[in-house]
Amino acid sequence: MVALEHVITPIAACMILTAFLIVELRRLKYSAYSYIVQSTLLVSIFLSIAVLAPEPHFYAWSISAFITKVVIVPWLIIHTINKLKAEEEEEPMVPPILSILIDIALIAIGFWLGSTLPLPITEPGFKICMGVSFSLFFMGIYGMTGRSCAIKQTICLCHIENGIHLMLAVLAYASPVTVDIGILTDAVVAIAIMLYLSTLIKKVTGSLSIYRMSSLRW
Amino acid sequence: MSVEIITIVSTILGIAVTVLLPPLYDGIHRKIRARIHCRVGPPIMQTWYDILKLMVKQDVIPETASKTFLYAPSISLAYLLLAAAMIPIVYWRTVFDFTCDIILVIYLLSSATVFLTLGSLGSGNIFAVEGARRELMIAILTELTVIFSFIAIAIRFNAIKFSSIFFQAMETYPAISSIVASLLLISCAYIEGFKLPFELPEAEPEIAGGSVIEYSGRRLALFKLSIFMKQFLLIAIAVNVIEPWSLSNPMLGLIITIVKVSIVYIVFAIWEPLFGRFRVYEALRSLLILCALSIIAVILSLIGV
Amino acid sequence: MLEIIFALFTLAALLGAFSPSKRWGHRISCMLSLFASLLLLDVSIQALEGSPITLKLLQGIIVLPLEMDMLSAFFSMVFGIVFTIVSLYSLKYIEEGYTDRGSGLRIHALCLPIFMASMVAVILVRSGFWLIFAWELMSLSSFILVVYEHKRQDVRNAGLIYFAMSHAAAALLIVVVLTLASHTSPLSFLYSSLSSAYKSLDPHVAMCLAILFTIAMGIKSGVVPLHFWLPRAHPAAPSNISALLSGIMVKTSIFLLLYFTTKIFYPAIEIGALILVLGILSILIGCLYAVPQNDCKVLLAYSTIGHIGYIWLALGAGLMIYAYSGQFALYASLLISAGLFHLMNHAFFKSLLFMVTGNVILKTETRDMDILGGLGKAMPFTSFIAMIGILSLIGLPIFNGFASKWMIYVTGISSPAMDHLTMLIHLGVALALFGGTLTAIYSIKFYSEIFTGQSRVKVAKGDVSPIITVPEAVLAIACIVFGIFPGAALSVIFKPVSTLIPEISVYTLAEGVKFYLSLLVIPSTMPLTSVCFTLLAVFIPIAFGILYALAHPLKTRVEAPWLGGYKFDIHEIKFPASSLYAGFEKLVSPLYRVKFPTVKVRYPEPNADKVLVSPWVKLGAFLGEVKRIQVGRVQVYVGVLFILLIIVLVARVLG
Repeated sequence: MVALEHVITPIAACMILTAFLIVELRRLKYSAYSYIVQSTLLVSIFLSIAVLAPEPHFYAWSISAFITKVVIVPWLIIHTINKLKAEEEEEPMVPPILSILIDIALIAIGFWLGSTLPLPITEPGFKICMGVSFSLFFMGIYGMTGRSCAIKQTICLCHIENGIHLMLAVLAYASPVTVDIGILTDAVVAIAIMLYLSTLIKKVTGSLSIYRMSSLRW
Repeated sequence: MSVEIITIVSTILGIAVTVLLPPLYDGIHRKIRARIHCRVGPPIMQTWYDILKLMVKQDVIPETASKTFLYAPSISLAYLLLAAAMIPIVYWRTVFDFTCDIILVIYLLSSATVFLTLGSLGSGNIFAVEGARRELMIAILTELTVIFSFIAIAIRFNAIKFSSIFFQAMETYPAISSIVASLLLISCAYIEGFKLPFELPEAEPEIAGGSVIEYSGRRLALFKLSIFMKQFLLIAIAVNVIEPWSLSNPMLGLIITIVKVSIVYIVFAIWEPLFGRFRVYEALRSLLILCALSIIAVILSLIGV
Repeated sequence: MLEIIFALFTLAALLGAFSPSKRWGHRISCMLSLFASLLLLDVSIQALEGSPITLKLLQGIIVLPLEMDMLSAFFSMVFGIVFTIVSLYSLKYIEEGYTDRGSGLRIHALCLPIFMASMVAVILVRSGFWLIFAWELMSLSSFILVVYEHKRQDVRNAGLIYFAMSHAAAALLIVVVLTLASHTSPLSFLYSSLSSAYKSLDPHVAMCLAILFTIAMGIKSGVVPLHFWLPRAHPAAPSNISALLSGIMVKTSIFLLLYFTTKIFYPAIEIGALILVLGILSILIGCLYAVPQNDCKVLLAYSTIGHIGYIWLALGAGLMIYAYSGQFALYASLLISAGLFHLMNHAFFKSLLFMVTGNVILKTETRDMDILGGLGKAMPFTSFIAMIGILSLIGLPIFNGFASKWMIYVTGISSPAMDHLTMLIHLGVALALFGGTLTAIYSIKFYSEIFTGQSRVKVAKGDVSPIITVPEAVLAIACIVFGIFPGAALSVIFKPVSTLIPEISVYTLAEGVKFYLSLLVIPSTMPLTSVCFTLLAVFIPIAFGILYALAHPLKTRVEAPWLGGYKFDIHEIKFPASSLYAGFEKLVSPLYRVKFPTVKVRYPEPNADKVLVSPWVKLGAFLGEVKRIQVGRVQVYVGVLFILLIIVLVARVLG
């Protein structure tokens, strides 16, 4: 049998690449596709944990993650993109070269923090996964604060959730399934509400930039 | 056969492949692009016919040309021939493997860009200046990506000489960082070949030929051959890092390398007609993403993935 | 011998200043400096082969100890070569170009030999007191030479900034020397006593002194962030002085840095890391800022900052490795050798390039690349020399820039595993490679904008006189020779390095380079010679043979350049240099703004109101600015909290 860490480590490495693509790509559909790729990688991590370090309840977790993260949430996002005809997002406030440098710094710092924080980790290969989850978390927050398009922020929220779920999978092996289902449904509900709000924003202000929302105050 | 003879034969094979094959691949590219455009297109050997025809044409030189214009294509060809002799293309080592390391190869490959742009700028034609400056701006970011990709490969295999990199690659399994770095090298090869959407330096309708506007005859043939060879060398390194196991035998290496490189060129040919030409700022913006991916590849190789 | 050299310099200065005829005084001064430099070269080569020279002048507390040990001999050799060439160059250059422009030949004839002598003195003295004296003399004489065209406002301002920064460096140096000297028991300024005084200090004070010293040397070398005087002072000076400033003066501080950190201070990892990081910053900022310039000398000045960064990178990495563990002495010495090799090469090709710009200024009276152009036809020899200089600057094989840069990269990448420090060195090497790409970009701009294309200036007829071009040709030949035979230079460089790092002998270095060959890790530099020979002897003839063997029966036709069939006025079709890389500048403009702010020199009037009230007003204004943090946007608040989160986590891991 292949050791768990030999399977998980390359998958986690690819997740960092997709994290970068989600935040940086301008066309929203490509961002959504990168998110689909990232969620598929996450599901495969769960599956490999289920198979290789035998933890049977991870099967249920991976199936539910697949249904919510790979099928439902991206479908909702792409459906909203099509409905609002939002092809590209506007130029954010952070100029591209600074953005790239911040991305790389966040990935490096997140990775380093995750691997060196003293946390109760059981398996040896999981340190890299912790690092990756921190990176995903940081990239997601950066995407939410640095970007102005409402749909991009929604995608970055899902991105944060991916990171948190990875962290959860690594740290809390034996949590019961109900916890997991609760978390996942929360994700779907939150995304659905945010997407509905995006539609409303577009209808009222005519664009998806949240900077224009300040006029909603009056 | 003794090891030295195998090495010498594989070096000569490598040089021959680098000189003879790239125009063929350009011909294949033109044919596939024509078919996608629903045309018949030129025969596959057309680029070779063009080069041979150019070699027997009369030279026409602008009166504002300087000596760099006259000599640059030959000098860049010389540097690229040296690179072709040093890089392991069909066998994991060459005659120069005691000195062929990543830094030297980076400099040899970028020297082609340096000399070709010096030549274009030396023609004194303002369209050539426009083409050359676009080429240089793209080259800044492309070379950054190439540098970091090579560094990722060097860190992954913990060696900087190509012979030891390929030797180790034949013994171990491929890693994500080296695969990502190789894919980035292939993207850089595509960009350096000035195909759409990065066709900025030779934009036909915009700047009437750009950097090659004043070149004609033999110099134009050497110029084009240099560009083809540089593209080929980058692709050859990249595919050999992804799949090095065929390099243990020169004959096998020759056949498999030709197959691998053909696959890459066919993918290029299918990719190109899908795009229009980027403007300068858009091109630089997209290249920034490639640079960032290459830095991430270095981070991945530092992790050890 | 050394006294004769100094006496010759002094004689040159006096004769030049006080001779009845201005012209002849200047010529005699330059010729005497030439002889003195040749003598210096001879003495240094003798010292390198044989034994070091020691000399003690005067007695008592102000004894003047001069010593030419191996390191000083190497530096003196480099200085001697460049001084010889610049003296010969200055002779014709100042006469032809500057007689009507400045205070005249007398001042130049007085100060040039003093400048050269003071730089040699900084290298040779072994007493803190005399070091400060020589340093101040160097600053003063170079200041006078920089403001040669003192009638121009911008030259005066540049000179003032340069003078102020020189004195800042001198002040820090005085602090270090006096602190150390105050701890010597019989009061003595000799380096040997300063060294024992340093070892008796409290470790924290010692570290502070070392950092202050590094900053002082950094100011004088022009490393970031205290480099801003360099792009103002080097262009303002006449080109022969720029060649001396960029080529030699910034190297004197590197000598002091190397000498002090190995012989007087004990090697410490923090100092090595500081030098390394400053080097990396200099490479990036120097090369990035050079790209958008349109004044050719400002471009070369920023290029100097970049390449000094390379030298600091190599030296810092070497010191860091040596301080980490004595076991790695071989790697450390190879890195330091690479740094010294690049120092030598940079002195050669940077002086060459500044002299080439001097040629251009002689013929066209302007430095602005927006209007220069097309000089390749009018000045063929100069453009050929400039091409060699440019290719050495970029660092392509055959030329010396490649040999030294390659050695820095390869030894840097192959440095041994030392926890996180190795990652710092690898990061430095990666950024240095990127700096190499930027170097290519601005070098191509430099050459093409000046020597090819169209021109908008009137060019005086004919190329410059042979008195000017022959010295430049000698330097160009040196560039090529050391590019093809780096082993020759390295065998000279290994000698001083083996004195700096006592665990290593010259034999060990040469063997170590060959030994690591078998580990497939660090290749020897001897194979570079074979590579260059293959290139020159095999491939270049093949390539040119392809070009010329198929000679066409019809001769080459020369036509007008094809511009779409339109006839353009010659002045309309010159591509201005300031917008050559406009797309790239737009991309990186968030990282840096490249407009020189206008220099204001203020003369504060002593006024109680200003002294007592204005600080409080400024404080109030500053606090008023702080309220800018209350932006109305949620995103900024979340972003700030996010950054605080990262800081807390990092502190948790580190502390």
